[in-house]
Amino acid sequence: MKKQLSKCFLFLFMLVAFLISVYPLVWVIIQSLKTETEFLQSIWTLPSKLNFENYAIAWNQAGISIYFTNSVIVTVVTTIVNLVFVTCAGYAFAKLKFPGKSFFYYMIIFNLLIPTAIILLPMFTMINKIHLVNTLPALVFPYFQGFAPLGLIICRSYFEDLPDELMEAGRLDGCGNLQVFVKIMLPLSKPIVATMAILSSMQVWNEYLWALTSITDQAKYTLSVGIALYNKKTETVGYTPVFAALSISALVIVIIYLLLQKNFVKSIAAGAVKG
Amino acid sequence: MKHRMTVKEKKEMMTAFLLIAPTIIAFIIFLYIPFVSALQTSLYKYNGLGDLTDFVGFKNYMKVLADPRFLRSLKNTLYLILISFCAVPIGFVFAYILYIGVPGKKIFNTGLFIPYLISMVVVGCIWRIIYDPTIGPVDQFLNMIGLGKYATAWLSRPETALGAVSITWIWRSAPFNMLIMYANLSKMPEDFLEAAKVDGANLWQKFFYIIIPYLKPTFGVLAMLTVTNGLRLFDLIWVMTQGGPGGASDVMTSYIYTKAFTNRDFGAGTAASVILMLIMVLIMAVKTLYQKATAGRNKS
Repeated sequence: MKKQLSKCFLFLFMLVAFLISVYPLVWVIIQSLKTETEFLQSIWTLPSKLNFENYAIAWNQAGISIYFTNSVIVTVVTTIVNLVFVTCAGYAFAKLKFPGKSFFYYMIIFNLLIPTAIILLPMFTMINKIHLVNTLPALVFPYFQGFAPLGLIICRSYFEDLPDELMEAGRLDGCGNLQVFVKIMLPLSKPIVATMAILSSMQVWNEYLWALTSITDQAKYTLSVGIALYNKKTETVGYTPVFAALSISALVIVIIYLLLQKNFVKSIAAGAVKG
Repeated sequence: MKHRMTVKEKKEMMTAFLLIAPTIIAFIIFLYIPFVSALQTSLYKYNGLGDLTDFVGFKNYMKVLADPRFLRSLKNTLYLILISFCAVPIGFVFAYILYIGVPGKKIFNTGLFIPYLISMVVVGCIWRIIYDPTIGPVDQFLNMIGLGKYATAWLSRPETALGAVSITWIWRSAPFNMLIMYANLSKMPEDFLEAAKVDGANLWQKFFYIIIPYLKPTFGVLAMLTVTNGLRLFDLIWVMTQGGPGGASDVMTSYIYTKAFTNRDFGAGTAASVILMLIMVLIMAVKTLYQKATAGRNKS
């Protein structure tokens, strides 16, 4: 009886916590399905009928479709670069002997201590000088630099845990160093590559500071920058289209999360090792 | 005598350099060259245009350290970090309840994690509307339950802006703490608790003598992340208040951004960011020393 009661109490407690966690997003989604007049009449009611007009306005007129596409391209390209560069380097740092190894390693890890704010201006000046402003590389490489330390830490420790005998066996079969990496080690590294892909995608998709500073052409804005800008226009465009834009951005991630839940949780937990 | 490399070692070295070259080159171009040039900029008076000509030595640092707005941003950052420590115990409570089991556990687990999935920019946008004095749910709710006199423009009043942002910050970071602690609790070896059961430990004893000590390293990691994430926090502040009103919710990163890109005083902005970096280096050094000290003690 007492046990039942405490279970009941725990359930109610979690229910309240659950509502606090999901309500803000649910509220925004509900409002996004109303007309502006309906929303201004009351912020608590459900829509009288489902109205997707706000989504059309946000997607087409407000340019969310453009920002969305830009973000997808930047995320995919950066993540590919991140995975290729970091996997190669992670393998070298874990399994190969070469002079200056710890120097180069700490050269990359030290980035964890450099706040992005420090290099915003000099990096922008440089990118301006070499005429890369508003191009894809101007986002991809700075993002790579931001991802590499964390990626390298988890990737190196993964390769370190793979037995050396595998390499030796490959060498006995006459494989060169590169062949051992490509033919034997890479196929074994799928789980860590998946983890890094999730961490990298989340990081790039959400990035704001560098995109805000470096992109000067509105047609090249990423979703973060575009949404933050649109959010300030509630007075002219009304609230409900902004709610639609916010819902689009949030729901994409939530849906991907629901599909890949296990991998997501594992990846984020692995990412926390950097602390 | 110098060790001469064998052919095999040379080959291995070449492969290694080939594999790390792209990363190292990208780091030199996109991190270290800008970084060195930033250190240089911090010694000049510079408005962001043309060449560095006006060398002022450490004057920018003096100016920043004497600027009341900088000191306030430092204080605000500290306040934000201290208050966001709340997210650790909150996350722990959620994780522990999920661990001991509750009806609907799966749904709770998924739902409680949602705030962390939404990007900081979108979280900021949503909460800016939630705190809105006319259409915001917070004030409308207060009016509804007869506490209308407490309803206010949370983000545009200096007394409430920072507090309001920090509530959002806790809301966003508690799920992360929950996830990490739940993952570690689930990994806890069964025999830990079995042993306690055999010894006849009650629920509280189990909690204080097994669960808490087991999670101690996790608490350490999360505390560290709370500090470094707090120092880096920019998106949320920038979207919600831009450090306003009148610098009331300025944190170090937003101070730096305003100084450099709004006031176009890049020398001072960069000097402030170097100070931020030194703080991070200091914290890391203290943490490393502390870890070494405790590791030494455990060994002896």
